[in-house]
Amino acid sequence: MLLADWISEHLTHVEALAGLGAIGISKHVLGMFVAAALLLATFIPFGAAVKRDLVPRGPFVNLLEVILLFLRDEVSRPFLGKDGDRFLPVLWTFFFFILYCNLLGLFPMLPAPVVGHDGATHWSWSGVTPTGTYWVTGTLAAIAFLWYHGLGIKAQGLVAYVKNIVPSGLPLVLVPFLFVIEVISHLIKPTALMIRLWANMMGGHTVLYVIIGLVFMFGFASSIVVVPFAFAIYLLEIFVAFLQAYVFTFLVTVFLGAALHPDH
Amino acid sequence: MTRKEPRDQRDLLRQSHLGLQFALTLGLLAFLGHLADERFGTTPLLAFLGASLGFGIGFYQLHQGVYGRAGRGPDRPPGGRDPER
Repeated sequence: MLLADWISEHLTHVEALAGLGAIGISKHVLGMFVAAALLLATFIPFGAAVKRDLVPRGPFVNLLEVILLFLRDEVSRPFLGKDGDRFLPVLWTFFFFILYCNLLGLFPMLPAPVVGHDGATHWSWSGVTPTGTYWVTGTLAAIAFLWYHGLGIKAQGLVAYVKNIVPSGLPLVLVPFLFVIEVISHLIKPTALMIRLWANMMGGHTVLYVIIGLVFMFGFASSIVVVPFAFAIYLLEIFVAFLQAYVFTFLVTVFLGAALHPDH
Repeated sequence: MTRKEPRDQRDLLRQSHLGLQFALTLGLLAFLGHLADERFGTTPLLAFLGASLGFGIGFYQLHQGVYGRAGRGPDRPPGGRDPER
């Protein structure tokens, strides 16, 4: 099999866990379970620490507080105002869930029995980036889409919300055209969210595979050059994991702000 | 060298999204036109129409994203200013 074929198959094939394929548990779904468990493992002790003492003590509480406050002060409040603080838990959840999903593929995990594309069961490393598949990023974008439109409808009422889709003061003849254009725009926004996150996560992995693949093409001696280079890309991947979680959360906040304040 | 204000960085980030949105609108409508062409045997008329429509809608979105509605600023909180923290 050509290296390019192997990479392409590895990146696009979603492997079901042996015996659990019937209920749709794949390596990616397992990855999401792990990310959710990590969220609980992070925030239950954090919540307990904050409840005990509002002054953050220790690196763990301080680190989390820095990230949480950054998202509040630089993302949520500029677009939603202080009233927007009530939406913060959801935005924080988006950020940390996506971040953990992004980071999971960068850490080795235990092997698990999976069903390959040929239908045979084999053992495979269970470490996978759940956000490296568009089903996951698409679902996240769909959840965000329903959430911010739902809140917009709740804030303005359904009729006013639909009326506000088209800018006011237009000649009547233009309204149907603009309505269609605006609806397409609303649908494109979550699609762009989906594609951006998925493409960034998959793109980084592809680069890593290609660089490591050079060892197989040029022999073991090339690893002297290839491994440090792959390590540099790996560090870049960690940065991208944070950046993409931030970008997703940021854009969801922008869209939420637009849904809540249609005139601005 | 002057330090970028957080507000500028936010604008930059938001506007970076507009490029992808533009490309997606153009690509998606051109693809839908291509599918319609295959179905009705009108190649390449509907693909061209889809691409033109996508370009128009994409440009409209770009304008809305940069200048906002009626020049009131794009996706900003009331008054177009950062609210009090």
